[in-house]
Amino acid sequence: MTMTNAVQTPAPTNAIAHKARVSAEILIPLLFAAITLPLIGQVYLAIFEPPPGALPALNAVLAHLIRGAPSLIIAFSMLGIAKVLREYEQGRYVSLSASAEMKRIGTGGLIALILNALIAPALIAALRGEPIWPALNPGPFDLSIMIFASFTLTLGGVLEDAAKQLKAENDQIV
Amino acid sequence: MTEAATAPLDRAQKLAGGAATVAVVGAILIAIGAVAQNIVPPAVQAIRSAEVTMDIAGALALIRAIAVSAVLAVPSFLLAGALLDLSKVLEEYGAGRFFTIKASVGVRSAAEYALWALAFKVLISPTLYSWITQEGRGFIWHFEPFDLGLMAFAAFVAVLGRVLEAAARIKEENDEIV
Repeated sequence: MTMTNAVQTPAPTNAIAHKARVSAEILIPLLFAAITLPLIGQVYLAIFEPPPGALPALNAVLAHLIRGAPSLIIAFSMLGIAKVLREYEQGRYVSLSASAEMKRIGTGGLIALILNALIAPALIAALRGEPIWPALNPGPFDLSIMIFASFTLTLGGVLEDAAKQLKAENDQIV
Repeated sequence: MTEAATAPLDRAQKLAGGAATVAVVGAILIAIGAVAQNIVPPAVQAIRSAEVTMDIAGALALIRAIAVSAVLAVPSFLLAGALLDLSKVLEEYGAGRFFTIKASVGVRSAAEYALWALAFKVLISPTLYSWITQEGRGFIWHFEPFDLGLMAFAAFVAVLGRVLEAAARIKEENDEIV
């Protein structure tokens, strides 16, 4: 098997990675804003302007926070994108740093998906005083997204092992 | 080369090979689950309500009942397609080919399928369903904040695939020159 981890500064590829990194650094804060601003509004309304027949303020606030937590986790995991793309800008496509970051992103995504599909509905049902079991009803779409995220994590793991092997080969040569 | 040096790679290849099989099985199960959840119940309902008769009109009624519900199953089918693409990537990795055009294109394609699946889930499927069943005329959004995070996640994987694809193409050109 032949493999290089430093494709000799291919300018077009570095340009793609550079543009992607800059776009990510602009868009990820916007992602945080799109998730947190509505959440802040919902929490404010739950505390100061609850609708008639609403849950107690604490329960309502907790329900909103639990519902928003998966989105925040996935947004935090997206912060690693810039690091991965920075490695690719330098031409290091099979590197320990990039693949470790990819694994972190995949792990964060998977945790967020499990929270969103299974844990959050159960906790929110409990806060509402509703039966928990009927709330646990992930559809095929939720399950397939979880499988997609887990395979992204697998890709990161495979690339990390490949990078470790490459490093071991280079260390032996030295 | 010592065994210690090749151990991570052997492990990576075995993991990838096993994961490729799981991906294919997962894709099939997801497609079956989508059919069972979205298509079979309306078809059974149509048969039970005597809309479906043993003539052309009855056959058309059954096809209409299935087609309407199939619109809602499209996101799951697209995600099954994404998993099939990922299985091809993992097969390449299982064969020790980590930096190839085929693997990189597979990563990009899988992510693009996932993005389309999200677009269908959020907008296209609910809108088409509404138009077909004549419940409404405008665009129907089933959008949650979490869908935004999922789109970012899928977009990241798509960008990753695109960058790796471009790099793999250049590497292939360089290898040919050598």
